[in-house]
Amino acid sequence: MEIEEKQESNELDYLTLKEIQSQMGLIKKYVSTEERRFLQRVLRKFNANRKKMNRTILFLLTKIYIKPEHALFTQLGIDIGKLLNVSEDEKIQIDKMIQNEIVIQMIKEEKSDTVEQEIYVLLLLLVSLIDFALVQNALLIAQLLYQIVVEQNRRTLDDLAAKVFFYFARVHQLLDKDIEIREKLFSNLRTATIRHDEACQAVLINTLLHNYLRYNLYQQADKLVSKTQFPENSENAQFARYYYYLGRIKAIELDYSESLQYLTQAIRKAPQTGAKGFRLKATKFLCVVQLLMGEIPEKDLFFQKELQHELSPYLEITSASRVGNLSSYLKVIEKYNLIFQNDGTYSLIMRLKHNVIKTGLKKICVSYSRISFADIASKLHLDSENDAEFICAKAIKDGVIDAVIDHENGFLKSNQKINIYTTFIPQKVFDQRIKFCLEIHNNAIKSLQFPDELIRQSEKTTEDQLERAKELAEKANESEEKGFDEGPDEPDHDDI
Amino acid sequence: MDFNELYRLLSSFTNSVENDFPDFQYCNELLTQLKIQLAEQNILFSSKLEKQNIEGLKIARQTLEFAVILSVKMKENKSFERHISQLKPYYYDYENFLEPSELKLKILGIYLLFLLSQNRIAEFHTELELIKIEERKSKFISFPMRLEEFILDGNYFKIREAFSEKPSELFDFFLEELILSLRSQIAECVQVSYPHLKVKDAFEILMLKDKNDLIEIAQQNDWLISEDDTIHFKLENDNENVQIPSDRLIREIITYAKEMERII
Repeated sequence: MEIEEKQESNELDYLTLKEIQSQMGLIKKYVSTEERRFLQRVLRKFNANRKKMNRTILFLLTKIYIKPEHALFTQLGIDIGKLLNVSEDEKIQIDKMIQNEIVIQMIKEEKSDTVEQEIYVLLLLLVSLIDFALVQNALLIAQLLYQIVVEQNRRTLDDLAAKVFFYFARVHQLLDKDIEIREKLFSNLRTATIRHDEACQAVLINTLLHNYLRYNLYQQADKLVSKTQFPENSENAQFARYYYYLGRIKAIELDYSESLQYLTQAIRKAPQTGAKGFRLKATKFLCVVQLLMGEIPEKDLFFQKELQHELSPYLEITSASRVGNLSSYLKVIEKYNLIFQNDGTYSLIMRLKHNVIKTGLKKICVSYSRISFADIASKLHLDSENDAEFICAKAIKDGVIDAVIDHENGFLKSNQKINIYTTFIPQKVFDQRIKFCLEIHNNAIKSLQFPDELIRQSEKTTEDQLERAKELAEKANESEEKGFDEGPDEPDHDDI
Repeated sequence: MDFNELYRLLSSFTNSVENDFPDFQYCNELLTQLKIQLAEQNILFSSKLEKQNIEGLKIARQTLEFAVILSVKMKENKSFERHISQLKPYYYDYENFLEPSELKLKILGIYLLFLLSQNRIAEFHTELELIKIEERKSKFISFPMRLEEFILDGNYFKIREAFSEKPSELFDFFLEELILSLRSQIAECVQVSYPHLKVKDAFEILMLKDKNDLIEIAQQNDWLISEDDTIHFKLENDNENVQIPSDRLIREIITYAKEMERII
C-alpha cells in the first residue's frame, strides 16, 4: 500500500518535472524572441508550480538547471540537500529518482543557458523555502538572487526581477529585517524608473509602502506616494495593493471619502477567489471607513464566504454604531480590543465614538420635538447636561441635526422636518450615482485588451489561432490568481 | 572622541533652561555653541550608526530635547517645530540603538497639543499612529488624545474641565493657543444653535472673562447685544437663501453630456 502511494507521488513528481521542462523552453523562447507573452504564460503558472513543489523536485531541479560552477555552490558553498533540510527517507527517494531514465535524460540534455532560466528555478527554490518555514535559508537565496538581478542589465529580466524584489523584501520582512533594506529598495526604484521598467517600479513602490505602513510611518508613505507615479500599465494585482495602501493612508489622514474610493477599487481589482488575507484586510478597513463616513456597510459585506468568521467583530461594531448605542459600542471595543489592534484598525475605530454619538442624537431629534439636556445626557450616556448642550451645539453647526437650543430653560427644540424633496439633496445623490456609473464604464473601457497588430498578422495560420485562443482562455482563467497568492498581509492575518 | 567639553556645555544648558525664569539670550547662546560643537564632531545629523556614536547621539538627543523645551518657554512656534522635526529621528529611527529617553513622551505630548492648537488634525493622527498603544496610556499622551476627542464631539465643557488636569506646566503655552482657536469654533456653533443668549452665560460658554473681549467677538460675528444684556444672533432664514445653483448644475449636465457622447 505504502509503496503504491510512493509510486503515485513519484509519478506526479515526474509530471511536474516535465511541466517545468516545457516552461523552461518557453523562457528560452522568450529570451530569443523577446515576446513577452511567453514569459507571462510561465509566470502565470508560478503559483500553481509553487503548490506542487517538494524537496525531491527542488533537489532535482537545481541539479538539472543550476550549473555546478554557479555562485550558489562556488561562492556560498551551499549544499542543496542541507539547505532544504532533506530527511533520510527523502534522500533515498531522490537517489532512486536520479537513476530513473527520464531524469537521467533531462540531466544530460537540459541545461540552462540563460540567466532567466536560472532565476526562475532559484525563485521556485526561494518560495518553497519560505513555505517550508526555512526562512533563514531563504534569505541566502534571496540575497543571491538580488545580487544577480542588480548586476545584470537586461530588459528581458524585468518581470522576473520584479518577482525577485518582492520576495527579497518579503523574506526580510519575515525576519523583521525590513528596515535595513529600505535604502536598497529606493536605489532600485530609482534605477527602475530611469529604465522605464514598469514591472519593477510597481512592485518596488508597493513594497516600500508596505514597509512604511508596517511601522506606521504614514507621513513618509504619503510623501512617497506624492513623489512617485504609479505605472499605469501595471497588473491588477499591483494596482489592488497600491490602492489598498492609499486607502489606508487617506483613512488615517481623515480623508474618508478618498479612502473609501481607493479601498473599493482595491477590492474590485483583487481576485475574487483566493488572496483571502488581502481581501480580508481591505474589507475590514472598508467597513470602518464607511462607518466613519456615517454610512452603514451593506450586510452582504459581512457574509462573504470564507471571510464571515473573521469579520464578525466588525459586524458587531457596525450594529452598535447603526443604533447609536454608546455603551454597546464601548463593550464591543473592549471585547475585541486585541483583534482591532492586530488589524491596525484600532485607532480608526476609536474615532467612531463621535459617529455613534451623532447617530444617537439624530434619532433623538427625530423622535422628540423638545427634550431637556438632562434626558439627552442620560440617553447618550454622557456625563452631564453641560456636555450634552455643547455636543448639540456642535451637531447643529455640523448640520447633523436641525434644532435650536434654549439655554435658559435647558432644552433642545427640533425644527419641523422639511420635505427633503424641496432641497437639493436628491439631486446631489443622483449626481453621485451617475458619476459612479460613468466611472465604472470608463474603467471597463480602459481595461479592455486588444491583440497586438503584429500578432494579428501572424495569426493567419489556423494553428497559431488555435494556440492563441487557448492562451487567452488560460489567461482568463488564471489571471485572477496571478501574482496574488501571497499577499504581504497574509501572515499578519494568520498571527491572530 | 572627547565628550567632556560637550557634557559641560550640555549640563549648563539644561540647568539654565530648567530654571524657573530662564535667561533666554544666554540659553540661546549655549544652544548655538552646543550645535556647533555637535556639528563639528559630525554627530548632529550623522546617518551612520556605530557603537561609538551612541554616546554622541545621546548628547545630541538631549540637546534637542532641551531646545524644544526652550522654544516652548520662549513661546516660539517656529523653532519649536523645527527642533521637533530634528528630534524625531532620535525617537523613531534610532529606537533600537538608544535607550528610551525619559522626556520622549512628554515632548511628544506637547507636540500633539501643538498640532491640535493649530487645527492640524490629519498630522495629529499620523503622529499619533507612531506612538505605541502602551505608550498612549501615559498621561502626557492621553491628555492631548482626550482633548482631541472632546473637540471632535464638540464637548467644549469637558475641555475646560480637562485643563486643570494638564500633566505639566509646559503644556500651558499651547493650551492658551488652543483656547483661542476653540473660541472661534465655539462662536460659530453658538450663533447657529442659539436664537439668543444672556451675556453672563456667554462668558461661561466662550471661556471669557473680559467684557471687551466679548464685545470684540460680537462685532466680528455681527451679533447684536441688546439693552437687557442679551445677545441676539442672526438666524439665517433658509427660504430666502434658496437659489438655484445654476453654475453647478450646468457644469454637471455638461459633464454628463460629454461622457454620454464618449459612450455613443
